Amino acid sequence: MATSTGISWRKDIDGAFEEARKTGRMVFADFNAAPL
Amino acid sequence: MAEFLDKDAVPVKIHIKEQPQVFERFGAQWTPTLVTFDADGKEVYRFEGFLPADDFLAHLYLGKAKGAFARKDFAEAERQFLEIVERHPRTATAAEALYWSGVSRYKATGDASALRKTAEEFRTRYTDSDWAKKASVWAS
Repeated sequence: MATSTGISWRKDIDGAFEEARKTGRMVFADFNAAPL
Repeated sequence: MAEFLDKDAVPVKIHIKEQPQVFERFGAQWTPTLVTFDADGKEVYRFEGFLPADDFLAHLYLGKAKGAFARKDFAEAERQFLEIVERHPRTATAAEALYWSGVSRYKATGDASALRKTAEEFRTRYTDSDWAKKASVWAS
């Protein structure tokens, strides 16, 4: 996971979808060019 | 910002140089592109471009509210849309949230007066917004 501003960001979108499906949460995806 | 991203969403950051194929897969053509998906992976909201914090948060929560709307939890969607209007009243997104709060209430109750009341609100708030124009057809 990448961490910035206190948030634990995943880097694998399919892993994020899987986690969201299991937990009933949404996925918030930040497509960015700024340094991680 | 962290409350939504920690509690209600799985945050994922995709860097254009590291994962250009993921940009291609989701049609992200500019940075930043922020996309909200529901728990089933269906896209419910997207916006592009940098915004100051207050505007960014309003969009973030609009995505969350759109998720409630997409799963047909219209009472919850209305509550969330109105919360955006209350907490981020000076953002452009607030006008969109006000519009969708009326739609959500109508969807939840089947009562068309919810749309008329929203149109009336737009007579005094966000009067120059496109959302006020869209709501104007609901006015009696």
